[in-house]
Amino acid sequence: MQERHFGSLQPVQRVTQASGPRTRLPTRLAKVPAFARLVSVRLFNSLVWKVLRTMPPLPSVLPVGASWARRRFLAVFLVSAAAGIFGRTFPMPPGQEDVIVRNGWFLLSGDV
Amino acid sequence: MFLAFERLPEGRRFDVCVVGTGPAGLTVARAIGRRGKSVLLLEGGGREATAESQDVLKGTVRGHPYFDLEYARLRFLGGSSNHWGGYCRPLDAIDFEPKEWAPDAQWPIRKADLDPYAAEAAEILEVPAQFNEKVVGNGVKRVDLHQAWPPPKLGQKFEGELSASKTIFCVLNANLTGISTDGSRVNQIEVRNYSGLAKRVTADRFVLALGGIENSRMLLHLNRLTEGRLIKRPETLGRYWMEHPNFTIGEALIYADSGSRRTFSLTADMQRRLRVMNCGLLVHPVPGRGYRRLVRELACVAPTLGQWVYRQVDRNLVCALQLRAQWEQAPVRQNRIELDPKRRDRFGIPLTVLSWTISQQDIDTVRRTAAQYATHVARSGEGRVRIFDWVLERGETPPHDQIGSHHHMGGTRMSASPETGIVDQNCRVWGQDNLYIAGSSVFSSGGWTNPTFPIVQLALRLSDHLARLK
Repeated sequence: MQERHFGSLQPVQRVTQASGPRTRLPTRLAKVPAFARLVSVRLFNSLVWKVLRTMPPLPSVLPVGASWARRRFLAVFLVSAAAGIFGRTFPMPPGQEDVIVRNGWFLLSGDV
Repeated sequence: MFLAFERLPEGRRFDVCVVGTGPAGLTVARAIGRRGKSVLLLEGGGREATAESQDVLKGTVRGHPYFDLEYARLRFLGGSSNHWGGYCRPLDAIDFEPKEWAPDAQWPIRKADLDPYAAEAAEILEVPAQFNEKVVGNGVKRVDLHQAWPPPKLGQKFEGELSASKTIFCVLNANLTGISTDGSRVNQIEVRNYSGLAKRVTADRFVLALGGIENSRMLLHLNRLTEGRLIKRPETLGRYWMEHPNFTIGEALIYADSGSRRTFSLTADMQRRLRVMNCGLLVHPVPGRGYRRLVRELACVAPTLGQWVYRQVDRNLVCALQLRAQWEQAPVRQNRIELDPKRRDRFGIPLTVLSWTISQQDIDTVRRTAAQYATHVARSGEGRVRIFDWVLERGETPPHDQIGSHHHMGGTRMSASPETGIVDQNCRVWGQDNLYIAGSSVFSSGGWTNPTFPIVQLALRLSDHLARLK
């Protein structure tokens, strides 16, 4: 997933008060406390970790078959990817909004 | 009135001879004819496209993929107005201004020089004469791009007027093949029909309005025939050719009724700040349920927002848009028209070789403009825009998109001096007292708008100039 600040295109313009109707409305996900979301990510992490530990060695072309260090790397990678895909990221502090680009989408930081 | 080629009077001296019956040539001929001057109007094709007339337009393209030159143009009464889309808008004021970041984009005239002709051009092209624009934020403005619908085919539209005219003599199937000049003044031109019959035409003034590629090709050929006595400073002849690259560059989800097609561009101040050329963004609603995929993709990268958008979909409050860009190329010498060293048309004139590329500066223009628009949409709360990777990553343009707009500009550009262009500010060829060029080949820079409207404005201005001469 590509992510970068709009500043790579031109100087970042921070916006503290977006004009027009706000689109960042409360959702069920947003209502979940940050701590609970953190715990869920950790649980997911350990679940993937357990699965990898029980996997038989795969051919050496796959990183999971090579070493525990590689398996651990893969686990962290999978969890990060899952966090990205399912949006388990934490909102930016208030007043730190600016435009970011993810997979080509021009988003406000509060969108994710 | 229409004259058969065989009845073209060789001994008669016309006030003005106009070669080409596209939007430029027809406009000049009608405007001059209305003032009581005798006009000989020559068209290389007939009343309809034929294989033999289109064959002359064949050519080779080097560089980026481009259209087949034979089908990118039409060679019969009305010229390219027989297949245009009807979109009209004048050039912006900034299009005429010198730009530090594009030193070769320089007109010797300003927008104010063409403004007096906007109303008449609008009447000819059947669009409203008022072109509004409104700044919507973040250096983005919404602009009017009128569409004449159905697009008027000027040959058909004015055929009756030409038939009834006592001052305009229109000859079809008359192909320009030769010219005679004493070095500072054109005396005669030679035309041939498809049977090979040749006629010589005498006039006080000659206007070449052959099209955005043919003007260059013919001048290159005629200059070779006259051993350089026609264009004394040919360094820029055929060069600085331009198109309007035209690609789908992104998609958008808008949180409300999308309305109809809308057009945006950057304000002049923002263009100066970002150091970009002019770029038009054409936003079209995607019919049907095109929004579903977009909502899914948005939800993957922005789940919080995605969930909210899903609910708006249920209320039919989300619309998917396609974002197309049509933008101005920075004029560069390398984009040029040359004569094919081997292949010739049926009249013995070398065919066209077109070298055309889209530069990194051109990609930067669309990239920065798109980013500015996408940021505006996000911050204003209208929706969210996704710009394709090849735009953001400055990659290669996709080969299967529209690529260009069939807008052929430059090659005989207008300039303040003979070293930097082919015609002066009155469209007169430098060094020739009575030879003029009409059409988009005189554009020194192309702006982003469809060129037919400014072509007609320039043609009306040229007509005014010719009418004032004794």
